[in-house]
Amino acid sequence: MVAIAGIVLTAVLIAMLEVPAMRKRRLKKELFLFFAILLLAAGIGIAQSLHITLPNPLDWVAAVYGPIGRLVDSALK
Amino acid sequence: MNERISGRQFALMAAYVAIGDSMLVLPSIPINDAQQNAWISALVGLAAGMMVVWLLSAAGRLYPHLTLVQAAEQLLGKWIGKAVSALFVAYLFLSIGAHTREIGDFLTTQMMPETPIQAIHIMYAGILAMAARLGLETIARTGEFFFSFFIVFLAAFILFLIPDIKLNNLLPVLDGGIKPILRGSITMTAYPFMELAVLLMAIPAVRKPQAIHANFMRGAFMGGAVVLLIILLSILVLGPDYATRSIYPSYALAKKINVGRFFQRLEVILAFMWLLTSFIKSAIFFKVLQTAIAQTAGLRTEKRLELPLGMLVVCFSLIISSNIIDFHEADHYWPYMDMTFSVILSLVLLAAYAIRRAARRKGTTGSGNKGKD
Repeated sequence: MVAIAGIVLTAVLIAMLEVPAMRKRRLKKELFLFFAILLLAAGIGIAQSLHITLPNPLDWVAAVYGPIGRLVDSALK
Repeated sequence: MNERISGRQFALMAAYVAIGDSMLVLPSIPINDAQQNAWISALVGLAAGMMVVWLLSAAGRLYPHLTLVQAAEQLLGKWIGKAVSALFVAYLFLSIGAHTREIGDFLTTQMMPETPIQAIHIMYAGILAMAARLGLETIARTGEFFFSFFIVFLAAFILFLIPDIKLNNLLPVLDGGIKPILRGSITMTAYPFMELAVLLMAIPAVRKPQAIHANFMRGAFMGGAVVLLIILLSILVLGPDYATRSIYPSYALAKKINVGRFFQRLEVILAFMWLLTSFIKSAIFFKVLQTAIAQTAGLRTEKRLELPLGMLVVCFSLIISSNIIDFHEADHYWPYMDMTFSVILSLVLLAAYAIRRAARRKGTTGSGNKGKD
């Protein structure tokens, strides 16, 4: 619970630091991206503190490049 | 980007990216493959790496006033260019997550075993965000300022290790044939040199475009030479067996320093050098990530995305692997990802440029190509 509170607090703090200046300059796209990244980060963080297993992006990379790696390894064995 | 960096700073940035995390995590990989012949792997890697840098520099100089993302959009058309840029952004992000994890793994296993890894990640991402907010120019100047310290520490490190060198560790030469050596040289080419592709995003900031090529090559060579030296020392001092079994051979190397039973426990020197090079490298990656996101999404300003990105890096660096052993599995396929975004991407850009120029020469009747320059 403490971890989740900390994550939410950090996210709110970051938003409070940055958003007013961005709104003043009417940076709509920037604001959208800002919140998208912030919510993604907070979501991943909360999922982690609840010990939910998340998909590992390196597994996707391994699925793409692993076969090339194994091919080269076997050629140079 | 209205930041300006000098040619010298660009060269030093190339050196930092080449040395970067490679200084600590790279040596055990070629030594594992080629044992005592790993220094030949490193030589082969240096030669191949310089060719990679030559290629990168050629691709970068097509449009010296455009970043890689802008050049991709210019050459490949809007949508393919944007797709390539999005993949590049993902690659940068993966790299930063991996660098952060390397720092966390190293500090928690070797220096601060009781500190939770999250604490180290949060601080590291915090200074990365700070560096990105201050801009590329500040990062380049920091690198320039600290480089003399780096050289002094490196010289001291090598000098103190000379008494422990055992030339017998290099024998027998070439006993396993050429294949293990080539196997080891793949990582040695990829980690220091192919990751230099990020600097293609910094090219428009260099003051004298005509000096880019020489500085790029010089910096990369300097960095590669340092990595070669570290690998050679690991074999000469530790011997291939110990160097293979250690996750961080250069750190084990630093622990060996013992001059007259007086100068001992100097591994902090190495930790300083590694944290410095790794930090400058990650800071360049982070800044470039921010620029790449802004240019791909067509933002008006690239500022202000640092903090959410930093928070994402903290969370992300924890999910990319469950433990340090699992993380080192990445060494089997990561070099090929580096290859895609350096060699293949450069070749694609150069080919697109050649095709466009040929099409323009054949007749300026306008074959549907979007106008350039």
